[in-house]
Amino acid sequence: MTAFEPLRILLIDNDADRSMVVRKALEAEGHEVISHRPNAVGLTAAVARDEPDMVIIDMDLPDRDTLENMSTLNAHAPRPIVFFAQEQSDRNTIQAAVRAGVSAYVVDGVQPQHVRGIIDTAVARFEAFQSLRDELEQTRTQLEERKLIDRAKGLIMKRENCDEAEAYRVLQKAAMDHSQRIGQIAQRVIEMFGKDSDKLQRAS
Amino acid sequence: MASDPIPLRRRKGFTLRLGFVPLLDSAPLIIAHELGLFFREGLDVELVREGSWASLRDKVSFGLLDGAHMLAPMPLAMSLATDRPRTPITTGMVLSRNGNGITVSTSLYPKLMAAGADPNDPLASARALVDVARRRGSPIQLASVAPWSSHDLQLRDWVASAGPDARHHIQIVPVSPIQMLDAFRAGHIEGCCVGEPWNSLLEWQDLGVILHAGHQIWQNAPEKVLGMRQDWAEQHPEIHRRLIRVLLRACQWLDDPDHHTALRDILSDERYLGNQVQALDGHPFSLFHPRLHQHFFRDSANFPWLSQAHWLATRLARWGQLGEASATDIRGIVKPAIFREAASSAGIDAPTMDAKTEGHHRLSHMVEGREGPVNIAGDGLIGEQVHHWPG
Repeated sequence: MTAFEPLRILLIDNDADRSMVVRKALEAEGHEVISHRPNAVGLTAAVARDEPDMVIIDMDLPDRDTLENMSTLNAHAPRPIVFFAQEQSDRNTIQAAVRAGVSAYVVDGVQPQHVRGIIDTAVARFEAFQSLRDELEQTRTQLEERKLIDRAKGLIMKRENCDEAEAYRVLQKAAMDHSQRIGQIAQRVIEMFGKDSDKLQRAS
Repeated sequence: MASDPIPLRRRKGFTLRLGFVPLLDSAPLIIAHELGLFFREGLDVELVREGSWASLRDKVSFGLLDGAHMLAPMPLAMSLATDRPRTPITTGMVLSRNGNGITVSTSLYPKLMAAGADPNDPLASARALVDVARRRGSPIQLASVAPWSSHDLQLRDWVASAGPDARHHIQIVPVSPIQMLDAFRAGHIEGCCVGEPWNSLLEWQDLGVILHAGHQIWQNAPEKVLGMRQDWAEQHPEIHRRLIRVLLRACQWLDDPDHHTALRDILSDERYLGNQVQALDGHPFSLFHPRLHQHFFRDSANFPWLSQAHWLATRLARWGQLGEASATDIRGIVKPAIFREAASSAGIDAPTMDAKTEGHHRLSHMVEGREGPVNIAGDGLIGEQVHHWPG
């Protein structure tokens, strides 16, 4: 076994909550973590000042191109982790990171086994955050769809002069016929009939 | 009725995922999607917006994207890199030409003009830039947006045109386009070479003045290209041709000024360029700055010249971003034959030769096509350079 070497890690993330969770996890493993929020001029300065062994950054941030640029301009700047994906085990680690939206840059000389552990930790936290966000998004969509369905039912009831149960069956059948979600069909119904009924109301 | 009828059955299409970075020149992909052109060719395309070129590159490398809107040097850098794992890329189409600007701060601009800069003469301006820095005794910082980009290479070629002394007086620092306005405001940089709409935005907010167009450094150079994973392109030749055919239609649509109001509406959607475009509200040129000569279709803009790719490779090598590339290397990546087949199936003619001498023609001119003569654009290079295709 190789001796553990604590690394100095610069963490760049716009999401303050996620950043804190990742930071705590890495600090619990003995590393020194400097959090940094992206801005126009701070990144190059932060890398020069803090001299991190490794940078972990949210993959979606435009600051990534700035880091890439630094690595071509300066031989001592951290280089993208994807450049080290030679062996299959590294490829798997890095692929998981790309999927989770974690991107990393390391300086030459850092031991690969340390890098792998750090990436795994960051990836696990990013994934946990993503599933939490997906859940929230799902709840939000469900609420919105329920509102759409209610409006669409109202429009159908008025137009077809039917009751609510019948209006719902119309939506259900259309959803099945077109293999779409009932919320999507409701949206279409509102787009098609909504304007007509507004016009009718104004005319009458 | 405003919306289309609900299709009876979802047509089974061929699914592919394409990445783009939200810039004005990602419009061909966005327009093909929004006008339903992919759908009509039976292609089910998912467009994925990426925050950086690095992210787009990684997702293509790891198979999360089949292909993308790429910086013209990117397929070369990804396929031929020696310091990292390669991802072979195939490119059979140029998506746009020109569109970059060299914009300097509103305080630097008058100083450069007083020192002899001339918006019609990039060589004079480069000398003025070095003069101003030398006289004031501190270097001028200019921003480059990404490595392996035409922005970076054009900026370096322009600065270098002032002579070997230039590098002591001009520093090139990295800044991403989305942070360019802030970096100008903070005085952190005094100029940059960036794509649109960022030059127009800098002018519109009175932060900068466009001094030169990328067009004046390399005339009508390929700016963005369609880059597909080589394994994907080899497995799906027919889909690839169809994809190029659709994008050609989109590019043709984009060159028609009558469509630019509609284009603006589409691009200002949050899923695409969003507030970058909204911030240009009231700008006299709307989307396309007349100085930048950005275009998508005319003068055989989409033809992937081997000689232009080789020129780009020499620039990457000049600035230490790639080793030397041979004619065979270029032929393995850039595929004029695929373009010709796709274009011909759309009734569009293309040059019969794959390469030409670059830098010889300042004006558009005719070359031999399969059906007759076809028009191609001028190809001047800064400092009257001439580049011979080695193949």
